[in-house]
Amino acid sequence: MILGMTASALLALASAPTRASGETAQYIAAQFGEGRRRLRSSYFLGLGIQTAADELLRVADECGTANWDGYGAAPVKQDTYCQAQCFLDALPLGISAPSIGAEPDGHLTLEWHHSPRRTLSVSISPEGDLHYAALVGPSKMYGTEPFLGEVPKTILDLINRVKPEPTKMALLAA
Amino acid sequence: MSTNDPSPISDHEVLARFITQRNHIRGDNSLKPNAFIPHPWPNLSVTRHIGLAEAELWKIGQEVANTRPATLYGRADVTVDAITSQSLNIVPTATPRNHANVTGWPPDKPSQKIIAQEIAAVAFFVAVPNAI
Repeated sequence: MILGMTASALLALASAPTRASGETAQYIAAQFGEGRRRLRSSYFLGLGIQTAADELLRVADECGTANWDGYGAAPVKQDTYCQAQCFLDALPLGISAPSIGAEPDGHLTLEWHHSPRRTLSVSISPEGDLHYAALVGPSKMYGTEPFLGEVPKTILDLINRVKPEPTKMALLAA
Repeated sequence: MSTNDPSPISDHEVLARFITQRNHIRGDNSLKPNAFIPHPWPNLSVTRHIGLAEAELWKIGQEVANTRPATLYGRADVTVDAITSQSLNIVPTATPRNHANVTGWPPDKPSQKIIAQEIAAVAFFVAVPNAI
């Protein structure tokens, strides 16, 4: 019970970054970020986000030169990698990790896939545009959202519809 | 129609999209939508099964991979009606043999992604045989 409450509190605390400025706020933000990184290192709470981050680095590296697909693909730029890494960092703890891919226009793809009709793909551009498309049963949702340091609610809701958060479900069941 | 003109497409034909990126195949052998997104190109290249023996189909796939050069991992088989039901067109070309372009894609990326997801949901992955 205590473990469940503690984990719930951690999940709640670790769900949103700060936009505050000022020396104290920056110190708190740095401590907050370090705490998140430590929680991420727990596979249970991070749910493989660190593995996804490693995969992101590998894909960005492999696709970092022009024509990486032999068909004229644009390279994945450093800016695109940074946007994708920040997006991963901004995911609330307890969210399932995506799989990573690259696209011929140099965008990086994050995919949450449960089945052919419960699937979400998010393409990240170097400018921080998030092009998303999702099939959820008979419904389909797609569009573009800006990434401004927080995962847009539209995309977060879609992740939860495609892959419900197993950590929270486990805690609720405890 | 000259002898070089490709035959018209029928609704029940099967088309192959050759897979040259491991990342386009999921661990469960299903296909990712990225395999079907033409962007930044306007059209998507496919090969018609019609009139080809399996070995001939794989030979074309290997030629596609060799021109890049890239590894041929397999092919995504999809029916014509799975493409046309997404309001796309299939335009056969005289060369290379059995080639066709999937045309009529919307210009914006999210629209292309959702169509590619619909196609990927019904596409079937066939791994390349050990010896071709």
